[in-house]
Amino acid sequence: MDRVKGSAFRKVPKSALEEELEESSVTDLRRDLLPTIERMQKNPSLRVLIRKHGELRAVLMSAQTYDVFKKLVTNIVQRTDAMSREAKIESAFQRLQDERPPAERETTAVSTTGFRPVVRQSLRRNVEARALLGEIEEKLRELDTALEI
Amino acid sequence: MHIDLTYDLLVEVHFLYTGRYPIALMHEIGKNKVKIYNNLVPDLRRSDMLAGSMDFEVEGRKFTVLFASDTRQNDSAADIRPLRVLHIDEHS
Repeated sequence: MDRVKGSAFRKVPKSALEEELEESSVTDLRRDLLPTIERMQKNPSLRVLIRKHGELRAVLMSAQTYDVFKKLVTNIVQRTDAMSREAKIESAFQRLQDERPPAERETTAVSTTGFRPVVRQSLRRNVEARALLGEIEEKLRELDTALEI
Repeated sequence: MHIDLTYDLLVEVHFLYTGRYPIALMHEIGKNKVKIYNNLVPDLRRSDMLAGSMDFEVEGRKFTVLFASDTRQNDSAADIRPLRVLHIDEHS
Protein backbone atom coordinates (compact mmCIF):
# COMPACT_ATOMS: atom_id res chain seq x y z
CA MET A 1 0.00 0.00 0.00
CA ASP A 2 1.29 3.53 -0.83
CA ARG A 3 2.55 5.75 1.95
CA VAL A 4 1.02 9.20 2.42
CA LYS A 5 3.66 11.84 1.72
CA GLY A 6 5.15 13.25 4.94
CA SER A 7 3.41 10.78 7.26
CA ALA A 8 3.48 7.14 8.33
CA PHE A 9 -0.09 6.66 7.08
CA ARG A 10 -0.91 4.30 4.24
CA LYS A 11 -3.35 5.08 1.45
CA VAL A 12 -6.19 2.61 0.98
CA PRO A 13 -7.12 1.85 -2.64
CA LYS A 14 -10.09 3.93 -3.74
CA SER A 15 -13.54 2.41 -4.01
CA ALA A 16 -16.70 3.90 -5.43
CA LEU A 17 -18.05 4.87 -2.01
CA GLU A 18 -14.93 5.73 -0.07
CA GLU A 19 -12.86 8.18 -2.01
CA GLU A 20 -10.15 9.20 0.43
CA LEU A 21 -9.22 6.48 2.89
CA GLU A 22 -5.99 6.16 4.79
CA GLU A 23 -4.86 3.73 7.43
CA SER A 24 -2.89 4.44 10.55
CA SER A 25 -1.85 2.75 13.76
CA VAL A 26 -2.74 4.41 17.06
CA THR A 27 0.95 5.22 17.60
CA ASP A 28 1.34 6.96 14.22
CA LEU A 29 -1.93 8.84 14.61
CA ARG A 30 -0.95 10.11 18.06
CA ARG A 31 2.19 11.59 16.55
CA ASP A 32 0.47 13.00 13.43
CA LEU A 33 -2.89 14.00 14.88
CA LEU A 34 -2.69 17.78 14.39
CA PRO A 35 -1.39 17.65 10.78
CA THR A 36 -4.05 15.02 10.05
CA ILE A 37 -6.82 17.29 11.35
CA GLU A 38 -5.42 20.12 9.21
CA ARG A 39 -5.44 17.84 6.17
CA MET A 40 -9.06 16.96 6.93
CA GLN A 41 -10.00 20.64 7.02
CA LYS A 42 -8.58 20.97 3.52
CA ASN A 43 -10.17 17.74 2.33
CA PRO A 44 -13.28 16.85 4.40
CA SER A 45 -13.82 13.59 2.52
CA LEU A 46 -10.59 12.18 3.98
CA ARG A 47 -11.10 9.44 6.56
CA VAL A 48 -8.45 7.64 8.56
CA LEU A 49 -8.99 4.03 9.60
CA ILE A 50 -7.28 3.47 12.93
CA ARG A 51 -5.91 0.03 13.67
CA LYS A 52 -4.70 -1.40 16.94
CA HIS A 53 -2.78 -4.68 16.82
CA GLY A 54 -3.81 -4.91 13.16
CA GLU A 55 -7.56 -4.73 13.87
CA LEU A 56 -9.75 -1.86 12.72
CA ARG A 57 -10.90 -0.08 15.90
CA ALA A 58 -11.99 3.45 14.97
CA VAL A 59 -12.41 5.92 12.13
CA LEU A 60 -11.34 9.55 12.25
CA MET A 61 -13.41 11.82 10.03
CA SER A 62 -13.96 15.52 9.51
CA ALA A 63 -16.76 17.29 11.37
CA GLN A 64 -18.40 18.01 7.98
CA THR A 65 -18.43 14.31 7.10
CA TYR A 66 -19.82 13.46 10.52
CA ASP A 67 -22.61 16.01 9.94
CA VAL A 68 -23.47 14.30 6.66
CA PHE A 69 -23.65 10.93 8.43
CA LYS A 70 -25.90 12.44 11.10
CA LYS A 71 -28.22 13.93 8.47
CA LEU A 72 -28.40 10.62 6.60
CA VAL A 73 -29.17 8.56 9.69
CA THR A 74 -31.65 11.12 11.01
CA ASN A 75 -33.41 11.08 7.65
CA ILE A 76 -33.62 7.26 7.67
CA VAL A 77 -34.77 7.10 11.29
CA GLN A 78 -37.45 9.78 10.81
CA ARG A 79 -38.82 8.03 7.73
CA THR A 80 -38.92 4.62 9.38
CA ASP A 81 -40.28 5.85 12.71
CA ALA A 82 -43.29 7.13 10.75
CA MET A 83 -43.97 3.64 9.38
CA SER A 84 -46.29 1.14 11.06
CA ARG A 85 -44.74 -1.79 12.93
CA GLU A 86 -45.98 -4.17 10.23
CA ALA A 87 -44.44 -2.07 7.46
CA LYS A 88 -41.11 -1.97 9.31
CA ILE A 89 -41.09 -5.76 9.67
CA GLU A 90 -42.10 -6.23 6.03
CA SER A 91 -39.29 -3.97 4.84
CA ALA A 92 -36.80 -5.86 7.05
CA PHE A 93 -37.93 -9.14 5.45
CA GLN A 94 -37.50 -7.53 2.03
CA ARG A 95 -33.95 -6.41 2.85
CA LEU A 96 -33.14 -9.95 3.98
CA GLN A 97 -34.48 -11.41 0.73
CA ASP A 98 -32.55 -8.84 -1.29
CA GLU A 99 -29.31 -10.24 0.13
CA ARG A 100 -29.87 -13.63 -1.51
CA PRO A 101 -27.12 -14.73 -3.88
CA PRO A 102 -28.03 -13.92 -7.51
CA ALA A 103 -28.70 -17.58 -8.34
CA GLU A 104 -31.27 -17.76 -5.56
CA ARG A 105 -33.12 -14.62 -6.57
CA GLU A 106 -36.20 -14.77 -8.72
CA THR A 107 -35.23 -13.53 -12.14
CA THR A 108 -37.32 -11.98 -14.81
CA ALA A 109 -37.08 -12.62 -18.50
CA VAL A 110 -38.45 -10.71 -21.44
CA SER A 111 -40.90 -12.61 -23.58
CA THR A 112 -42.37 -11.52 -26.88
CA THR A 113 -45.48 -10.34 -25.05
CA GLY A 114 -43.51 -8.20 -22.60
CA PHE A 115 -42.02 -8.91 -19.17
CA ARG A 116 -42.83 -12.35 -17.89
CA PRO A 117 -41.57 -13.51 -14.51
CA VAL A 118 -39.66 -16.76 -14.58
CA VAL A 119 -40.54 -18.02 -11.15
CA ARG A 120 -41.38 -21.69 -11.63
CA GLN A 121 -39.77 -22.78 -8.40
CA SER A 122 -41.36 -19.94 -6.52
CA LEU A 123 -44.74 -20.64 -8.09
CA ARG A 124 -44.50 -24.29 -7.11
CA ARG A 125 -43.70 -23.25 -3.55
CA ASN A 126 -46.58 -20.77 -3.56
CA VAL A 127 -48.96 -23.47 -4.77
CA GLU A 128 -47.70 -25.82 -2.06
CA ALA A 129 -48.03 -23.10 0.56
CA ARG A 130 -51.57 -22.26 -0.56
CA ALA A 131 -52.52 -25.95 -0.48
CA LEU A 132 -51.13 -26.19 3.04
CA LEU A 133 -52.97 -23.03 4.04
CA GLY A 134 -56.17 -24.49 2.60
CA GLU A 135 -55.71 -27.65 4.67
CA ILE A 136 -55.13 -25.59 7.82
CA GLU A 137 -58.25 -23.49 7.13
CA GLU A 138 -60.27 -26.68 6.58
CA LYS A 139 -59.01 -28.12 9.89
CA LEU A 140 -59.87 -24.85 11.65
CA ARG A 141 -63.41 -24.97 10.20
CA GLU A 142 -63.75 -28.55 11.43
CA LEU A 143 -62.54 -27.48 14.85
CA ASP A 144 -65.02 -24.57 14.92
CA THR A 145 -67.84 -26.97 13.99
CA ALA A 146 -66.76 -29.44 16.67
CA LEU A 147 -66.61 -26.67 19.29
CA GLU A 148 -70.08 -25.37 18.34
CA ILE A 149 -71.54 -28.86 18.89
CA MET B 1 -23.88 -26.07 13.26
CA HIS B 2 -22.72 -22.46 13.24
CA ILE B 3 -25.23 -19.61 13.46
CA ASP B 4 -24.36 -16.51 11.45
CA LEU B 5 -26.09 -13.74 13.43
CA THR B 6 -26.71 -10.48 11.59
CA TYR B 7 -28.84 -7.41 12.25
CA ASP B 8 -31.23 -5.54 9.99
CA LEU B 9 -29.80 -2.17 8.99
CA LEU B 10 -32.39 -0.22 11.01
CA VAL B 11 -31.84 -2.34 14.11
CA GLU B 12 -28.11 -1.82 13.71
CA VAL B 13 -28.65 1.94 13.42
CA HIS B 14 -30.46 1.96 16.76
CA PHE B 15 -27.84 -0.20 18.45
CA LEU B 16 -24.73 1.49 17.09
CA TYR B 17 -25.74 5.04 16.19
CA THR B 18 -28.80 6.35 18.03
CA GLY B 19 -28.27 4.22 21.15
CA ARG B 20 -32.01 3.50 21.33
CA TYR B 21 -31.28 -0.10 22.33
CA PRO B 22 -28.60 -0.99 24.89
CA ILE B 23 -25.51 -2.84 23.65
CA ALA B 24 -26.10 -5.32 26.49
CA LEU B 25 -29.16 -6.49 24.53
CA MET B 26 -26.91 -7.24 21.55
CA HIS B 27 -24.71 -9.34 23.82
CA GLU B 28 -27.73 -11.22 25.21
CA ILE B 29 -29.00 -11.96 21.71
CA GLY B 30 -25.53 -13.24 20.75
CA LYS B 31 -25.36 -15.50 23.77
CA ASN B 32 -28.73 -17.06 22.93
CA LYS B 33 -28.42 -17.35 19.15
CA VAL B 34 -28.36 -21.16 18.97
CA LYS B 35 -31.39 -21.46 21.24
CA ILE B 36 -33.18 -18.77 19.22
CA TYR B 37 -32.42 -20.47 15.90
CA ASN B 38 -33.59 -23.85 17.19
CA ASN B 39 -36.96 -22.34 18.20
CA LEU B 40 -37.73 -20.73 14.84
CA VAL B 41 -40.79 -22.05 12.98
CA PRO B 42 -41.76 -21.81 9.28
CA ASP B 43 -43.18 -18.40 8.44
CA LEU B 44 -46.73 -18.84 7.11
CA ARG B 45 -46.46 -15.99 4.59
CA ARG B 46 -42.96 -16.70 3.31
CA SER B 47 -42.24 -20.30 2.45
CA ASP B 48 -38.44 -19.95 2.53
CA MET B 49 -38.28 -18.21 5.87
CA LEU B 50 -38.17 -19.40 9.45
CA ALA B 51 -39.29 -16.87 12.03
CA GLY B 52 -39.73 -16.41 15.75
CA SER B 53 -39.33 -14.07 18.67
CA MET B 54 -37.79 -13.99 22.11
CA ASP B 55 -38.32 -11.74 25.12
CA PHE B 56 -35.34 -10.17 26.87
CA GLU B 57 -34.98 -8.10 30.00
CA VAL B 58 -31.84 -5.99 29.97
CA GLU B 59 -30.86 -3.17 32.33
CA GLY B 60 -34.41 -3.11 33.70
CA ARG B 61 -35.94 -2.70 30.20
CA LYS B 62 -38.10 -5.29 28.44
CA PHE B 63 -37.74 -6.10 24.77
CA THR B 64 -39.34 -8.50 22.31
CA VAL B 65 -36.95 -9.31 19.49
CA LEU B 66 -38.15 -10.70 16.16
CA PHE B 67 -35.88 -13.06 14.23
CA ALA B 68 -35.90 -14.67 10.81
CA SER B 69 -33.74 -17.10 8.92
CA ASP B 70 -33.74 -17.22 5.13
CA THR B 71 -33.32 -20.92 4.35
CA ARG B 72 -32.19 -20.03 0.83
CA GLN B 73 -29.10 -18.49 2.38
CA ASN B 74 -28.14 -21.64 4.30
CA ASP B 75 -24.57 -22.73 3.70
CA SER B 76 -25.04 -26.48 3.93
CA ALA B 77 -21.45 -27.29 2.95
CA ALA B 78 -20.02 -25.24 5.82
CA ASP B 79 -23.00 -26.03 8.07
CA ILE B 80 -23.78 -22.34 8.59
CA ARG B 81 -27.32 -21.12 9.24
CA PRO B 82 -28.20 -17.43 8.95
CA LEU B 83 -30.10 -15.68 11.73
CA ARG B 84 -31.28 -12.09 11.26
CA VAL B 85 -32.55 -9.74 13.95
CA LEU B 86 -35.46 -8.18 12.08
CA HIS B 87 -37.16 -5.90 14.55
CA ILE B 88 -37.19 -4.94 18.22
CA ASP B 89 -40.17 -3.83 20.31
CA GLU B 90 -39.58 -2.24 23.68
CA HIS B 91 -42.29 -2.61 26.32
CA SER B 92 -42.82 0.10 28.87
